[in-house]
Parts: sequence; C-alpha cells; structure tokens
Amino acid sequence: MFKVKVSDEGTVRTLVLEGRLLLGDSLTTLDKVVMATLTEGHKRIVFDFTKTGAIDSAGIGALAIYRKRAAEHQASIKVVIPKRSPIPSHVQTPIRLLYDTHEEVASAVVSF
Amino acid sequence: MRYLSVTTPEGTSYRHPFTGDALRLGRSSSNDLVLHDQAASRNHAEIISRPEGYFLIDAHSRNGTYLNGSQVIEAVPLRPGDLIRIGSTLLVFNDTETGPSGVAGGLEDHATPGSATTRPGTITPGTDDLPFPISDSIAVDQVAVTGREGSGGEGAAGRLDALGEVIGTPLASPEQMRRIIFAADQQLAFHHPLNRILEAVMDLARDAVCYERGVLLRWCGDELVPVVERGASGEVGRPVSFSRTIAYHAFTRRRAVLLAKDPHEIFPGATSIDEGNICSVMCVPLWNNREVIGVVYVDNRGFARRFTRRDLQVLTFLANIAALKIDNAELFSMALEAQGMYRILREAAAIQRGLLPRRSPTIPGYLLDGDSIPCFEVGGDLYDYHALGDGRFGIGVGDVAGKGLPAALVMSHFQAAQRALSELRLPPEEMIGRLNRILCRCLPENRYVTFFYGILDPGRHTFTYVNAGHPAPLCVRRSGEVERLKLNHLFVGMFEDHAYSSETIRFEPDDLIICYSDGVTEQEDADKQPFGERRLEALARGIESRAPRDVLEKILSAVDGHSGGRRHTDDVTLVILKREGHDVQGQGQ
Repeated sequence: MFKVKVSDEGTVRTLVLEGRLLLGDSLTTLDKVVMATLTEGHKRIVFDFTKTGAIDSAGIGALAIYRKRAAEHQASIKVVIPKRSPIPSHVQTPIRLLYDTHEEVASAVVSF
Repeated sequence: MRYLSVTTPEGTSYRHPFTGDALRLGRSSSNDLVLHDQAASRNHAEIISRPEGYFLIDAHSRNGTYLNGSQVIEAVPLRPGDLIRIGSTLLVFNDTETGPSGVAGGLEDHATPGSATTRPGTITPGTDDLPFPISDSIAVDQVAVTGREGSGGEGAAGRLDALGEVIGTPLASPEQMRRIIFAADQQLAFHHPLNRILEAVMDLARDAVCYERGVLLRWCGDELVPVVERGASGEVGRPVSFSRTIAYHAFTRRRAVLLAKDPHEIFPGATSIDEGNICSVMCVPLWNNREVIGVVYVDNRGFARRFTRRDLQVLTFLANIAALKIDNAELFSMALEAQGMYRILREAAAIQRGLLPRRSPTIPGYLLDGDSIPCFEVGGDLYDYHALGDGRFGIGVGDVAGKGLPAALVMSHFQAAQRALSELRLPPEEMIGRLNRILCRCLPENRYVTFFYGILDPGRHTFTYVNAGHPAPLCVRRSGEVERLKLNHLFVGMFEDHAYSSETIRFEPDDLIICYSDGVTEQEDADKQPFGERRLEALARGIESRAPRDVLEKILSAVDGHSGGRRHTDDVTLVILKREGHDVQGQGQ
C-alpha cells in the first residue's frame, strides 16, 4: 500500500513516500499530492524516499515530469535517499541526476 | 411453417399446425381446431388461404371473433403475429417463412434508440411518485405482482386479492413450462448475433403469453432504449409506445410488474395508457445474475385478455434466460474481438522481432551475442549492432519506459532513428544527443528511453560509450573483477538541452561486457524480492571464460529460476560482448 505523508516545516513541505512507487494507483496518488502542493504555492518541496521500497520506470518518468512542473511553478524540489536504500542504483542515479539529493531530511530542508 | 399459437382459457399453450388451404375453428369436433371454450360457437371461425394471403372469417358466431382487439365483421387479412381472440381462447397466427421472428419486416429498421424520450404518448419517467405501492422484499427472480391496493404489510397474495381477477389462477403448468423451455432451448441454445437473440426472445414471449405489443429495452448507461419492438398487426414498422413509468419501475426496483386490473384506474390520466387503450401490462427485468441490463415490456389493448400471474411467471422465466443469453453473446463477441486483437499483436510481434538483429556481426577477435524476450507479445526493449564501415562497430541496448504496445511503438521509432544516425558514424555522445532531441519533439511527456550505446574499435581494443539512464553494464575482467560502465547521463526523450559525454575502457583478452535491461535485475521471486544487481554480479564473476551465448543462457536461466517459472514482469534483454582469449569454450554465433 503506497502512502504519501505530508508535513510542513517553516516554508518547506516534505512528502514522505511510503511503499512502492509503481505504474498505477501509487503514481496517481503521488501525482495528486504533488500537483496540489504546487498549486497551493509551495516553493520548497522535499521528496523523502527513506521508506520507498521500489520505483519503476513509470515512477522515474513521473519524477522527471515533476522537475519540469516545479520549474514552471518557480518551485524547487530536493530529494532524500539514504545510503542503505533498497532502490537499485540504476534507479537512484537518474534521480540523483534530476535532483539535489541528501541523506537526511534535515539536511535537505536546510539546503534551500 | 405456418401455425397458430393457442392459449386455452385454462392457460395451456400449444401450437397447432396450419397445413391446408383452410382451417376451421369451433367447439364442434368436426373442426380442424377444436376449441374447448364455452364462449366459442360450434362452428366459430375460419382461416382461409387466398393467392393474396391468409384471411380470417367469422362464421356468424354468437360471441364474435376479435382480431387484435377489433371484432371481425368480414374477411380480414391475417399477418404473422396477429392476435385472434375467440371467447377466452387466444390464438397468434405465425408464419416462420416470413423470417425467424415470425413478423414481416425487420424490426431493426424501425427500432429508434433514444427516441423513447420524445415519443408522444409516453409518461415522463419518475419512479419515486408511482401511483401504486411497492414492496422491496421480492427479488427479481421471483414473480412479483403489483396492484393498486397493496400495503407494506401485505405479501404478493394480498396484492393479488386487490387485483381480483387473478385469485385462484394456477401457476404455469409443468406441461406449459416444458413446452416453453423446449422452444427457448431450440431458439437460444446456439450462438447467434445479439440482435437475433433479442428478437427470438420477443417472439418466444409472444408465443408464450400472447401479448399484442412488446418492447425489449436495454439500459445504455443513462436511459432505457428500445432495441426490439413488436407491434400489433397493422402497426409493424411503427415505434411501439410504452409506459416509461412502468419500465423504469421494473428496472430500478428490480421487480416484475403485472397490471391485470384496469390500468386506467391504476394510472388515471396516464397518456400512454389512455391513448394506447391498454387493458393489461407486464414488465420484467432482464437480470443476468449481476445486474439488471434492461426490461421486457408487453401489453394488450382493447378487449384482449388480461395477463395473469401465470403469464408473469412465464415472462420472468424467459427474461432470465434472455439476460444470460445476452450476457453470453456479448462475452462471445468480446472474445472474438480479443482473438482478432491477439492475431494483430502476433503479427506486430513478428515485425518487432524482425527489427532486432537477425545475427551477430563477425568481429575479428571478438564474440557478440544478444537476445530480447518481451513480457507481453511485443515490448519496449531493443538492442542493435551497426558496422560503421571502418572496422568499428556500434552496439546499443535500450529500454522504452512502459510495456506492451505503446512501448513497442516508441521502440520501433527509436530503432529507426538510431539506425539512420548510425550511418553518420557519429561519436556516441553526439549520436545520443541527436536521438534525445528527436525524441523530445515527438514522445508523450511521460515516455523516455534508457539507452546504452558504445563503439567498439577492435583494432585498438577500446570501447567508447555513453550510458543514458540505462542499467550500468558489467565489465567482467579475466581476473573476475567486475566494473560498472557507470550510468552518467539522463535517459533520452525528456530533457532536450541535456549534454551527453562519453567514456572509454580498454578490452583485455577474455574481458566480457554484459549489457542488460532492468527486466533482468527487477524480476521478482514469490516474496517480491528482485533478482538484483548483486546476484547478477556474483553470477558474472563465475562465468568470465564462457562464450557469450552460454553466458546469456546462464543468466536467463538464473532469472527464470529466481522467478520460479512465473511469467516475466518486464522485458528482458541481454547483449554479451567478449574479447577472445585462450579459453573460449563455445560458439558465440
């Protein structure tokens, strides 16, 4: 079961992605949350992948699209992927190429 | 074959063949068709054949002969489907030579889907303000009889009392039901086009309950639409008006409805009933064991007989069979469509296989082999080899995001583009840069391609590559050491201004490069654990001296073993390149 937990710390909104981000319901869920976040005017957003088990090619595609959407809204997205993440390296690498990545949420939050 | 469907005053129905030029009807045993009806005269009526058709003649009977509710004064022409009433005996004239429906003219010709909403003489739908009480406790597969006087505490019997006429009427006799089941079996046992099934249902119902007018309505998402209409004699070709109130009531409440008492009393001022001079109505839902998919509505007019509870039982039985047949026919059509789609997919798969290299090129001092196995009929993985004409070879492995037909379409486009660009002998970074710009202009926003492309220079034993978002190939050295041809760039097709750069490695004897798609490492076992990169690396370390085909098959076998023989969840592609050394044991081509 994929869930997105939303929390705000100052001007930074953090989205914790729990479960497997795959084509289908989980992507639909994330899409809604991300688009709502951008539409509400949040400019500093953190994607926390600490509790994310897997991301498929559709998930990577969505993350790439979010980078474009964020740019359109003059927003910035940072990503948290811990060292011991189960996400395979060939999935992690494009995410690292797309976003500024951090090992911990605190580090990502202060990096804005 | 010509015949009369006869329903006796007791409710028994049977067919009487009409073989000669005349058929005499009456109580006397001297008649061709003997009527056991006290209201019939000894010699009551006659049907005769003339060159211009069949005619009904009243033989100066005491109580008269009625055709479709009108008294017969002189010889009147008979048409298939005509309803004859003699006393309390009902006869429907049928002639199957005029078509399977027994009614001249194609009903599809005058079926006017959607027109019921504007058809004059109908009642505006409204199920919440019905003029008669409803019991919700009776399921659709039971016979429910609705009358004027029912109350919440009464069962069906109480409402029967209110109707008066049907008290004491026995349900359909086993013999009558047997005949109906037999007829239904003959008409509906085999597969027919849906419209023919629906017409057969209405004809069976006409034979069984002797209705004068009938409509089969299907639910089309937002309204009930007439799909088969059976008008009275002289009205064939004209839309049959029906009470939408009753039809929607039967549909929404999932209840069979019988109005046997004077409907004008039950629906005072109802236009469709007044104008139609309707004396009795039945309407039953088409229930396929999951949902109500429509209704069968029938009525009688004028002096025709009123329907009984027995008729309602029979009509409900036929409607239940019809609903299942409709379901089966639609599933059958879907299966045929799927079969057609499957054939198309298989052709597409053959075409896609033809886009992949048919054999590996001969490269002096090197062995090369590859394979791609789509998880569906067609897939989004690809691999390709290009002889650049100067002794060098381009080798590419790619994966379109997504699976199945959409991915296959992108794959074929991408394959064509990269083959065309390979003619230019561009350095890998420039080749991928151009591919990226081409794809950015034509792919949907959520599609992209991961692509690993390298140029092998067999003279210098170098391999110059760009990895655009693809799983990093393994370079397995003779020592067993494994290096990754690292992923250093974004995939192609999403960011037009991305700049690509290449890296170069040197090949030593017996060195092996294993290029693969993520379908290899992401194949899951029963516990949803992926095959994984570490397992692939461990496997690669033990096979560095094997021929490419053997390496490829060993990896595929390991992946299959990991998945427990289950179908792959993603396309699987492998390309193995090896510099020959002293201990190559197999053939790579």
